[in-house]
Amino acid sequence: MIDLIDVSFQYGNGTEALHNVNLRVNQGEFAFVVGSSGAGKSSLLKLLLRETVATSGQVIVNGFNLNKLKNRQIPKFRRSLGVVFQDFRLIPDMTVYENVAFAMRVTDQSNKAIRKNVPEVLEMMNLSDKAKQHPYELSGGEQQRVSLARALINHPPLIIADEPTGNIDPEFSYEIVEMLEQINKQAGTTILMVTHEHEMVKFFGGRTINIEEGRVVFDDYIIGGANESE
Amino acid sequence: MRASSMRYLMGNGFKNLWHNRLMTIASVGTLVACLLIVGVAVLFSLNVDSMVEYVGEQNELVVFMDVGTSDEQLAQMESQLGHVEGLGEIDFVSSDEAMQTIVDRYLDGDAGLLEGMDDDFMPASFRCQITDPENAAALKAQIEELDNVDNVQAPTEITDTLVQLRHMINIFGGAIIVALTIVSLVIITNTIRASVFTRRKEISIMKYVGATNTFIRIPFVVEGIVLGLLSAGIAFLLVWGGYNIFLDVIREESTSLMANVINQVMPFSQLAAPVLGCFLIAGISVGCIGSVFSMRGYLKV
Ligand SMILES: Nc1ncnc2c1ncn2[C@@H]1O[C@H](COP(=O)(O)OP(=O)(O)OP(=O)(O)O)[C@@H](O)[C@H]1O
Ligand SMILES: [Mg+2]
Repeated sequence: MIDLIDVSFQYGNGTEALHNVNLRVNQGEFAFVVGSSGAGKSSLLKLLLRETVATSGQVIVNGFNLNKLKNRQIPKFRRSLGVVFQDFRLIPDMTVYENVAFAMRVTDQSNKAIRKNVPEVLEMMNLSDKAKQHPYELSGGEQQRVSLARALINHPPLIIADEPTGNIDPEFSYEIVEMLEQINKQAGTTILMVTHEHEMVKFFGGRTINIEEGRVVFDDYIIGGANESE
Repeated sequence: MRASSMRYLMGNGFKNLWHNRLMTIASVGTLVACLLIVGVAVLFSLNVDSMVEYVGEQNELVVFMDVGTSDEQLAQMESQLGHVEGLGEIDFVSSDEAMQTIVDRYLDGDAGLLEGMDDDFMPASFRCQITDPENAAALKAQIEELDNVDNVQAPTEITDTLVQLRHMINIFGGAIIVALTIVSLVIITNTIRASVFTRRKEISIMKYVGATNTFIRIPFVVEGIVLGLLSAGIAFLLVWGGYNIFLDVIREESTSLMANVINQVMPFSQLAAPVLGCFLIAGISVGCIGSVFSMRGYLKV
């Protein structure tokens, strides 16, 4: 699903954000990516989204070899994954429904499919009663659910989330991660979630990849606190 | 691409125009002004062309033959002139006819005064029309080389002036069109850039969810084309009205002396199609190119 082989990445100004990273995330896995500020987490995601290309090494995502991907194949590749950002990236003058439908509209899907899929995914994210509201009328947690609904609308096999709970009150943060876990369990969607909320990682547990100074320094399963307390 | 997608994207183009309506009005206004200037230049140049042609039709070379040229040689000359390219109708004026004209015109028909003079005191001549006045000088030189030709008279100065005027108009007109095309491109590019800027967030989301560059571009191309079409339409109506008013004015003001020339001014019906065509092509292409320019840098990520 995600396969990084000896990947290094350097920005134009010479900053080496990633150094010899080897990483494999299989279909159906749920993995947290943690690390201090400036460790290279966002840089890793940029490579996975093909915003940038690795300076050396191979990046393979959903069967696409991103080193060799031609520009005109990028749209097809991007349709095979869903992205969620810390800042939600919703369009303020569109309603919740339109924000979610947008991802289908701009990828040439039929009105019929839009009318069927959007209510379904809103229902799944518990947003049905918010469909006609605008992003600014929603809480951070609700906005992130809209953004998640948009990422899920095309049923991608992989969801990449960059600090999806960074702008959300802690009580709602857990709700978002629970939803991600639920999607992971129900649909078998691979999920890669960057966070620096260690408490949360400890609470949920599971595969945790720690990046520091551009290197993978830890990659293993940790036992969640939720399980311990039970 | 689905028809529903196309409708959606085009709708977005119109929304952009409405959203930035002040910019839209400002840029349509500027484009109309540019088109009007170009339109006036084109109309002026077409009319000068038509006048040059008219003057050309009035233009003739008069080929005076040597005195005493035989009928045989004259016949040969006539057929030679018939083969010269660039000449229209050719009229032969015999030596006798020329004499008769002088008698009629200057001697009150009294041929007695000319008694004792040779029959072919007046040279025979050919009056040749010139199809393209620009060739007058060259034709004159060419025909002067022929046998038995005494001299060739051609009103080359008038034609020269007109031809020069035409050249100047073409050069000036060309320069104006180039300059205004650049101005229009800058205006359209800036207007659409404003829309692109307003929608930069949407564009970046489109990139992330896998929209193709075509999908991202279409609304802005539509915006550019609509700006161009709108301007072309308005400019056309203004030119139409303005031209007809201009015609009315010169018809009223004109003296009979000018009447002939003014009759050469073309009616708008004859100019409507080329003017509209030019405006539409100019508007649409400036719109398209402007929208492509304005997207630069926004299609990455
Ligand atoms: N556009 C850029 N150009 C140059 N250097 C950059 C750029 N973006 C990030 N960097 C550098 O690359 C390194 C890794 O940055 P990155 O954004 O990947 O860190 P991060 O782990 O996401 O940090 P944070 O937790 O603060 O988001 C840092 O040293 C950063 O300064
Ligand atoms: Mg980051």
